[in-house]
Amino acid sequence: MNPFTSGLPGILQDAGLVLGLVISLAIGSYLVRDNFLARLGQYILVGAGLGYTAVLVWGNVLWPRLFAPLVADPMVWLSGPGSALLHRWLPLALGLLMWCGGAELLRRPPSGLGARYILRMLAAVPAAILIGVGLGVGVSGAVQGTLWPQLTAAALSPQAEVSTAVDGLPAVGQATWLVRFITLLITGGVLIHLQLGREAGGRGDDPALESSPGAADAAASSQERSRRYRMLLFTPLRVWEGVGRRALWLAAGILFARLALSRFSLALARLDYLLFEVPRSELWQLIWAAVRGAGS
Amino acid sequence: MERSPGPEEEKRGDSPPSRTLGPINGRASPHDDGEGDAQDAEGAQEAGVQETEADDKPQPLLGGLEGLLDLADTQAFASAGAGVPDPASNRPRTLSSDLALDEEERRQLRQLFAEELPLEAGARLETPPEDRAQPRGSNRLQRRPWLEAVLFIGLVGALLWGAEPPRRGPGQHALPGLDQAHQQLESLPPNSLVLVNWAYDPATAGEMDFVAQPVVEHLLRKEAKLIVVSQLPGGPASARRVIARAEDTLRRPSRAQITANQAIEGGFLPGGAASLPLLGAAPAQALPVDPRWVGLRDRFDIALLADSGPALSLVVAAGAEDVRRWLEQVQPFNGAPVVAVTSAVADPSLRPYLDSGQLAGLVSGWDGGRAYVQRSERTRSVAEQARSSRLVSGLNWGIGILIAAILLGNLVGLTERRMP
Repeated sequence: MNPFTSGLPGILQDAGLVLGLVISLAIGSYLVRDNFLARLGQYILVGAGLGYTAVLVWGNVLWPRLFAPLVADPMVWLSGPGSALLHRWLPLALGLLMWCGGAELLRRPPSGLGARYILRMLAAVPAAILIGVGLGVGVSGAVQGTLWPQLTAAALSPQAEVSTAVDGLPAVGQATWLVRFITLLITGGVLIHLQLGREAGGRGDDPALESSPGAADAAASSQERSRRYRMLLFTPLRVWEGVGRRALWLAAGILFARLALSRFSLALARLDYLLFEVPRSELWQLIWAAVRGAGS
Repeated sequence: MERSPGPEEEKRGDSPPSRTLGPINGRASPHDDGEGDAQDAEGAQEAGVQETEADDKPQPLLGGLEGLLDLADTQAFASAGAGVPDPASNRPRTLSSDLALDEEERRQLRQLFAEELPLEAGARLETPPEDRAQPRGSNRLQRRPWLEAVLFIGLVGALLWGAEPPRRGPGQHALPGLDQAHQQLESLPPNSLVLVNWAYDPATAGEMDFVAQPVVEHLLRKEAKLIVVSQLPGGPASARRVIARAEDTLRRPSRAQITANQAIEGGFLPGGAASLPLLGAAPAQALPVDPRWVGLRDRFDIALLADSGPALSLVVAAGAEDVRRWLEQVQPFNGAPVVAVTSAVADPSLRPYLDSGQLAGLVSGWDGGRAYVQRSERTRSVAEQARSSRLVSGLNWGIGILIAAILLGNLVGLTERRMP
């Protein structure tokens, strides 16, 4: 038996199945209309989830990693290295500070400077550490794990799919450059669309764009130069934006198809559970036999 | 919310282009439809009517994405017309900055918004009929009970009567990364340490169990040592259930025997992305399990993990975000190859990581799980085969009905558009 083997006796596992059926049906009744049973099911789910998380945090983190070592050796900085103080007492102090600060923020603000005011100020310290560490880790991770490797892969290495799909080396090179060009085209187009929208090609009601070249007089020659310049600049930009817009639609369609696949899988698994797994359980058969016996 | 260009600027044509109607400022609100605007605006009826017609046009599902990023004033930039202020840096003051509320007032406001509307006992909140009506051209998806009923009947019918196995599985091109994942696991020597990040819980177990179990069975058959951690509260329990089921499957007669305890429960690792780098740099310290509390054998494995690192990382995740986070926060530190086992929806987002070589393999969705079982050449029981067949059959039916509904909807839309 290993830690992953279920220690529950069979009858309790069956009870879990039947309980799951009841709560599934209760929450599923929301499809008909919002009702007491659906809300009860949701409240049970939220309450049980919070309680389970609290027990898990205590059993997996707080007790074995923090309180048990502190209880075993409270004067850890005397017997161990100095860093033990940082690893044991400092997290406890910061955690307590944040907890007390959170409880204090639920009350009315203090009228003047005092212990409560200082507590409110100090509670910002662990919050600031959390936010700072989270931001630092997130940004450095995005650079080292996504931005740089993806840029390197796009710039240097041939795409795996292309290299396996094509036989000849020159063809591989061409296909790779083609893929890179398309990638650049679509990425740029989507960025232009997200930033400028359909006005990437300039405003349609711009008089400078709609005036005929023949009607330009000498005083408007500078405006004519500007118009040509805009046409040269904005026409490709408009085409590029159109490519990006359509690519965005295509990507959204692909994501929607995969999302539908994923959600259908979940619905089917639940239906399969209701139709096949629950009726096979011993407890359900007992209940069913009792109901039939009572009916006859 | 944006600086409105003055009449002089509009005449010159060098004003910053006004942003197209977004999801907030351009969508018809149930409280103010276009007709009301047209009636209110005396002297500007023509403009009001045009506005109404524009509002009545059905907007696409993805409408309003344009202008999502901050506007760059390209016209001013191109014409070198200096002096045009950048609207991005010249934002108007927001409402919250105008309202200087102290903490007590904010607290009272929070309480006020948290309370439900005071009604008489037994009274129901009635919304005006114009608010209940779906505004034309709005982006809100409408529920179609007949479509839900057809889908439900189709799925149940396919589960009950559609247990015929599909004649052909998905082609190789449809599942990139599956072969690589299989090869990675197949090349593991016995007693290799595999660090498993279990990033799904019972909410997505219906799909993920079907994908994860064949991969876990493969690992157990290769006699790999699994050290399982999870950042979700429900993750360890889900892992426990799937690994126990995989062991039961393998323990049947004529199957490979599980010789020893091959799974170590690393437990629940809170802290999100901030706690992951430590797992990559010093896994024995980061594991939420005290080595003094585990058996001698497991203690040795954890020490080995700290010395040599894992031979493979397996990320079993319902979303692409967990895999990406692992690739960003853990893999740069331990350098172990990563195989991802994900839901179908995460697949497209992870393909770039597979192409760049950061992911050593990818198994996604039910089709991926089914193909992995076929590749593993494991003989399955009749019950397993029947369940797999009816689930895949149900999935095919559901997708078929959805495709038919989309095609029908498009046909109806085209017909309505051509009718006067």
